[in-house]
Amino acid sequence: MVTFELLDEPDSSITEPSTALRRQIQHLFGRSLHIRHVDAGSCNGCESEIKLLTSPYYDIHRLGIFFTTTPRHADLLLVTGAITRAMVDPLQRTYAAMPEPRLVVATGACACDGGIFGRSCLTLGRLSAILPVDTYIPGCPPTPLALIHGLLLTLGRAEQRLHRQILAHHADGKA
Amino acid sequence: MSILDWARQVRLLHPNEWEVVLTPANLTTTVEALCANPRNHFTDMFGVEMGGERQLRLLFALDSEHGWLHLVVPVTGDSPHYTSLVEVCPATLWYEREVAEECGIIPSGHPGPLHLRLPDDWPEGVYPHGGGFSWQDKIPAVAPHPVELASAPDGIVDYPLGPVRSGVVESGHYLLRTAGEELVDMRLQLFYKHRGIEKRAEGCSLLHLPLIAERISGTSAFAHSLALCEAVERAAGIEAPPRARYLRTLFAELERLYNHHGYQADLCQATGLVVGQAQFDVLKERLLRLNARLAGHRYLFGLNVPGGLSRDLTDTERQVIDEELRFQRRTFTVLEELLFRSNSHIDRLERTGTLPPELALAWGAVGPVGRAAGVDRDLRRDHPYAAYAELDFAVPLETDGDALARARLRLEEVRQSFRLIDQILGSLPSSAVRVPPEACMVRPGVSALGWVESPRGEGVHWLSFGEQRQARRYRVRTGSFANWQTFPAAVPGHNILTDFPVIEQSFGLSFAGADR
Ligand code: SF4
Repeated sequence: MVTFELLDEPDSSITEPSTALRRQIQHLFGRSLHIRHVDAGSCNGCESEIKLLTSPYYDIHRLGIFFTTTPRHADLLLVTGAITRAMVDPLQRTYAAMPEPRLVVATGACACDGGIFGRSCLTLGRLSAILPVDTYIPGCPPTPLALIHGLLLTLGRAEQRLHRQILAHHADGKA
Repeated sequence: MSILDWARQVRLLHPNEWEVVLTPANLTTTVEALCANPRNHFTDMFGVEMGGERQLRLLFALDSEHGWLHLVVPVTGDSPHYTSLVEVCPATLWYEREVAEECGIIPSGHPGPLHLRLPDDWPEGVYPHGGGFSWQDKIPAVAPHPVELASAPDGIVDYPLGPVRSGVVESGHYLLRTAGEELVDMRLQLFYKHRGIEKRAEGCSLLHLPLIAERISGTSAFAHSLALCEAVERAAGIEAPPRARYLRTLFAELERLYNHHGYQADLCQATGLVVGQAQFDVLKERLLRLNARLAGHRYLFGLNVPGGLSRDLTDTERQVIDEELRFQRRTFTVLEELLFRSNSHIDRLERTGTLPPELALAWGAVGPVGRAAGVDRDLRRDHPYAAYAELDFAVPLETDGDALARARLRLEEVRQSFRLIDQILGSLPSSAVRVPPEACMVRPGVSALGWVESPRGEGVHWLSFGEQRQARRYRVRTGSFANWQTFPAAVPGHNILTDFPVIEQSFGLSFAGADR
C-alpha cells in the first residue's frame, strides 16, 4: 500500500512570501526570468537535464527564461542536491546576494526531500530546512519537460497538475 | 619479505581476485615490489572496521594476470600508524588522507595535511568508517578549523573560483594563481558535495544497493550499478545469464555514447563554438530519449539488478536502436569533420592543459584522461567483464596528453562504441535476462570486487556483507576521484587564465563521482 507523507513545513523562522506578493512576482517576471542554479550535493543527473534546457530540443530562451552567472542578476534560485553540510553556507550566501523579490525552486528528489540520502550525518536532506521554497519539482532527475513545467508553474504560466486535495482524497480512500 | 615469501600466503577469494595479509612493517617493501612492475597498478586504498577490528586495505590491478590483489593490513590500538607510502607510490596521496580522516589509521611521515573530504565543521576523532554510529545519526557541528590563506607573493594574483561558479555546473572550488595572464599554479578544493554514499550504504539490502550505486554519479549510473551488481554476483558465486551480459554491454556503451557527446558539447561551449555545442547536444538528447524508450529512464536508473537486468529488449526495440545508430553514425561523421575544420576550436585545445605522460602514470590517471597521456589501460580489455571478452574492439591511445588528445581520444571511443553495439545487436544470445532472486544469495560475511570502465574511467567497487546479508562496508573508487588528483598537474606551464575553462572541460571529470 502506498502512503503519502507530506513534507515538513519549513522552519517557522523562514517566512514564505504572501499570496499577494507571489502574484506580484509572477506578474513582474512573467516574460523575463533569470535563473541562478546552485548544486548543493547532486549526483549530476539533475545538472545534465537542466543543461539540456538550453539545447535545441527545448530552447528555454523562447519562453523568456535565461540562466545567469551571477546571483546579483538572478530572480530565481534553482537548487539541486541533498544539501550537504559544506554547501549550506555557499547556498545561503548566494540567496542573500540575490535582489528581492526572489523565488526559490527545489529541483529533484534530493532537494525536495533528500531522496535516498534523506537526513543524514552529512546531508540536511531538504532545501526547505534552510530556504523558503516556492516550488518543488519532483523527479530523479526531473526531465527537461518537467523542469519547464515547474518553472512555468512558478511564474503562474502553467497549471498545477497534482494537488494536496488529491493526495488527501487518496488517503481517505484507503481509510 | 620478498615477493616469493608472500606469494606463498596468497589466498584466492574469487576468480581473478587474490588476497594477502600483511603487517604494517612489511607493507612498504611489498608496495615497492608491486610498483616495480609497470603492469601492476595501484587502484585503491581504504579503511575497514569490522566487529571492533580495523584493517587498512590496498588494491592493486595486476594487468598481466588479468587479476586483482588485495593487501590486507590488520591494525590495532587507539591510533594505529603505518609508514606513509607516498614516497614509493605517489598515487596514494589522497587515499592516505581519506583513510586517516575516515577510519583513523594514520600514515606517519605523510607530506601535507590529513584533512580531505569531511566538511569543515565535522568534529575531530569521529570516523565515519571507524564504527560507532550510523548514517542517520546527527553529528553536531563544531567551530570550523581556521583556514590559513597564504597571501600571494608580489606580482602574483590569486583568483578564487567557486564553489558556486558560473553556469549550470557542479560545485567545487579552485584557487587559480596567475602572474599577469599566465596560470602559474592552482589549488583544488573538492568535496563540497560529499554526501557520504559509502556510509549511507551500510546496512542496506541487495534491493537497495543498486539505487545507491546509480546515484554516485547520475551520468554514469549504469556503469556504477553494473560494477555493484557484478560484485554482488561474484559474492554469490553466480554469473548473469548470457543475454543479460550482452545487454549490459549494450547499455554501458549507450551510456558512454551520450556522455562522450555531452563531453564534446561542453568542450565546444568552453571554446565558444555554439553550433558544435548545439549539434552534440542534439545527439545526446536523442540517445537519452532512446534510453527512456528502452529502459523507462533517460539515465538508465533501475535497469541493473543483482543477477541481471530488470527488463528485456524486444525485437522492435532492437530495430529502434539500429535505426538511431545509423542516424548517429552519419551525423557524427559530419560533425567530427566540421570540428577539425574549426580552427577557433582546435587552436584552443592544442598544447593546452598538457598532462605529462610520466606524471599521468605515476599519479594513476585512468580512463580517457590516462589513455590520452599514453597510459594504455582499459578495464574492458585488460580485466574483461560483462560480454567484452567475446567482442571485438580497439582501445584508442594518444600520447600528447593535451586537451586536443583528450578530445580526439573520446571521438575515437565513440566510433568503437558504435562498433561494439553493432556486434551486440547482431549476436544477442537468447536466454533469460535475470537469475531468480533466490539464486542470487550471498553468504554472510563474504566480500567481493566489481569493476567497470565507466565513461570517465575505471570504477572499482568493493562490497563486504554482514551476518544478515546486508552491506557491511561499501567502498567505491571512481575514475573521477583518481583523475582529479592528476588535474592540478595540467594547469601550470603555457596556459593562460582564459584557458582554464577549456582545461577543465577537456578533463571531463565529475565532482559527484569524486566527492561521493
Ligand atoms: S534527484 Fe536524482 S538525479 Fe537529481 S541529484 Fe538527486 S539523485 Fe541525482
